[in-house]
Amino acid sequence: MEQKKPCATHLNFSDIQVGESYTFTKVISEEEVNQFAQITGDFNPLHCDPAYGKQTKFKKNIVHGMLIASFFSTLVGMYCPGRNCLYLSQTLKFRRPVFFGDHLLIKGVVTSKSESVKILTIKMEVFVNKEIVVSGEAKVTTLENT
Amino acid sequence: MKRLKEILADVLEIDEASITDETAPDNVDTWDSMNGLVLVTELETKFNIKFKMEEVTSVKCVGDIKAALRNHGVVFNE
Repeated sequence: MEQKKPCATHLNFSDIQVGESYTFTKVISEEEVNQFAQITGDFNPLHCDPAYGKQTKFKKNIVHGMLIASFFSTLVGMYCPGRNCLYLSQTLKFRRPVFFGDHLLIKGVVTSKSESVKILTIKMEVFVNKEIVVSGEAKVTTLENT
Repeated sequence: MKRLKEILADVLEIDEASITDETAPDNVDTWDSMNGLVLVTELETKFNIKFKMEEVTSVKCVGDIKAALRNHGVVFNE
């Protein structure tokens, strides 16, 4: 049976204002980390081998940084601008480790709009317990009239 | 010009020293349409200005960018 897909918001460029923020939450499970490893082929033991994880300075496995960063894609693809989104670029900094079961808050703040080329710049941050774990900056445009 | 060169070098991933007024999409492989758009947003943000669409489409090289920036009050110490 086909799974029902969540519906993206549908904002046009003119609907979005500088200073607006968009957020959603997510809890990452060990199963999702293993699924990410399957998809990408990144089975690094830091993420996938419990015995190895215990030997590290983190004392346990950590989530792939790119799995956390992938939620920036969710933010632009589903929330701002959502359905009309065309993702142009993304910078990233992995600032703190994320562990299985951590509660993530994914946040994007529109920091500028270029009317001439119709590009939004969005400051992206993922928080765990109010601390930034991943940050970056996205540039997106909108596919209007499609 | 140093600030402009820093932005160009960062967006286009080229050596600052290689940038001249004649630097253009025709002679920089990484200056494609996508990076051209990103460059506009970076210039607008870093120089705190807003370009008009006509200004964006009239730019053919770095010299044109400097001319457009001058029209917005940016001064180059060269």
